[in-house]
Amino acid sequence: MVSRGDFLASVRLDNISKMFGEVRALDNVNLYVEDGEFLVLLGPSGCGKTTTLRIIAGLELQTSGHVYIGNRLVDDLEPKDRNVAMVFQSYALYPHLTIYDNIAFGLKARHEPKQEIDRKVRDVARMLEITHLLMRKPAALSGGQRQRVALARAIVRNPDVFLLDEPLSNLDAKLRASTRIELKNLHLRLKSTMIFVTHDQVEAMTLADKIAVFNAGKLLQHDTPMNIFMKPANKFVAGFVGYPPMNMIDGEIAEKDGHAVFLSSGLSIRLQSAPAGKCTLGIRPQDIRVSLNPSDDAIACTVKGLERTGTDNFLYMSSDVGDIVASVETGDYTIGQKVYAKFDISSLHFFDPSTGKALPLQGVYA
Amino acid sequence: MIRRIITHVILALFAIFALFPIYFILITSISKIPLAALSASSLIPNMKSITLSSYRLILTNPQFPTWVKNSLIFGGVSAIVGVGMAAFTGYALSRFNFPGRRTLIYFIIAISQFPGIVLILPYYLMFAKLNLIDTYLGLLIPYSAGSIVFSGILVKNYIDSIPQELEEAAMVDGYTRTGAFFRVVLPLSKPILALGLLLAFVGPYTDYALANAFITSPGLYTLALGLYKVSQTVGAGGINYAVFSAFSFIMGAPIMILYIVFQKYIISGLTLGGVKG
Repeated sequence: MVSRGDFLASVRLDNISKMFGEVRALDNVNLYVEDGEFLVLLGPSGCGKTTTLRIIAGLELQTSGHVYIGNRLVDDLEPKDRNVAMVFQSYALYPHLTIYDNIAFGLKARHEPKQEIDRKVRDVARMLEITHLLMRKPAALSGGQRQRVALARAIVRNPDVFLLDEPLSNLDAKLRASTRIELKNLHLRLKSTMIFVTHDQVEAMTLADKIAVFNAGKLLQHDTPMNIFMKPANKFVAGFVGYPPMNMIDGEIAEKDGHAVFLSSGLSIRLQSAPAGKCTLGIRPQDIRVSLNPSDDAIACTVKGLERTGTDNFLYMSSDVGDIVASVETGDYTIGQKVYAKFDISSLHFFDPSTGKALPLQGVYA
Repeated sequence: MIRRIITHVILALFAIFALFPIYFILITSISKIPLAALSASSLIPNMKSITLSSYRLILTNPQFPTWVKNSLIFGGVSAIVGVGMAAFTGYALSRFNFPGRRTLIYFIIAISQFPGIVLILPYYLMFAKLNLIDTYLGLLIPYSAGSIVFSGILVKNYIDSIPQELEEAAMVDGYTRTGAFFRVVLPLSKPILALGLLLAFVGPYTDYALANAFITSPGLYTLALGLYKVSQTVGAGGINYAVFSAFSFIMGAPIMILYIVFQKYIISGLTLGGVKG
């Protein structure tokens, strides 16, 4: 039923900036979303991700730069002429209309024939299993049902691009997980370009073909979920994606015995060639091995606390290089206990402490 | 429990104060002795002295249909024009961030609090220059203007409570801003528009001062002017209270019925937050 034409619904943002008065909400964002891609805009609140979405929709006008949908420059087009559909965080269902009329709303606006509208509404209702709700008003629906209606309202229009603004954030945890899977399947089925805003990294990692990480109005990294996780482009991305956040240890690179080494309060890690200077080392909790016995290169730590999530155990420790958290197999630790943390040398990340940019350095086993 | 009793006693007292004048008018209107109605003994109607002659007198007056027609024209037209324009005014004040917006809102609130009676003289001078004294238009303009002012603020406050996302959804779905206004904002504003229409109708319907100053032709008389005329002329050397009361009741009853019929709208209109997204 919902077939896609030959039109290539890529989205391109060219040097987009947005000022709200004196506040720079978006700072020179360049982004290319391929036709059929599921892109997640990820970042903390106020980072500019929703503003980006609203600029693509035409609900907000950029201060400078250009927006292209397909090969069409849409800067001067009204939202209604951009052929995008949007799912709002609040769902924004029209409270005075039945579910049927809510879904048919956009088709009526485009003066489609009545029979055609009826067929499309019923098809999409069947697909999302909301046929039994069609004659009700939004107020009589549960949160999950409203969310489906909001999706149906978008799907029925067969838009070039779906814009989804935190559509899962008002659902409870269980429903959110199942809806996430449904949404992913829906994308596989429709093969439409979807741009999805969230601050939830789990949503981003599970849904996205690509993730664009924003902070303070800047696009920091646009890459596949795996690359975002494995090769974060800077300190912010490294800290924002992954739980618990990546450990960051400030230190400096110096020469020792003819080798470049990273040094920080007793910690010494040999590197492949590197210029001297200040440097921040990053290591994920999953890349730290904790043992009860001292060994070479292991850092002496004191247990501060243990967090059990049921599937994972996170051990919080203090050491000479600062607080460290590690993912551990068992929960058999007591507070105050002496333990030894050993870093996986092949999984180290290095960042420039002043710019936050990732440095192309690698640790070497001594 | 005691708190509840106290609350009910206080409310009952208020209700008595509110209802007594209506009761008083009702029994006076069916009393035979027009001038003695003010004596305390007549508060409990004597079954023998009940009469509907005052009502008959008013309803059989050949001018009565003209007065009704004129009151409906003045009240109805100015309510529709005034509230229709107030819908746009309220939307603009709620949604558009133009320079001087706050000042304008305060200004409108200030002039809506202005006692209408002091405007009669300037209105008279202005409309005399325009040759609109003693015409329909001459009264419809100030009546409509008055309802734009107070309904505009009512509508603005109401639209403030309608989530902007609903309009944005309509705009993404295929409507212009104007389309979104007519398809989403206006239908959702029904309660406040109903309240505005009612209040805007009641103002001109009950107005005596402005109508009395502007209208001289009997063909343009409203119910309020008719009320004064009838109760003046029938009594011998004073106001005929029975006729006055009967006329008041005839005028007031439709308003009470309107309030009861539109009660649902009026209450949700008054409580503003009645619409949820």
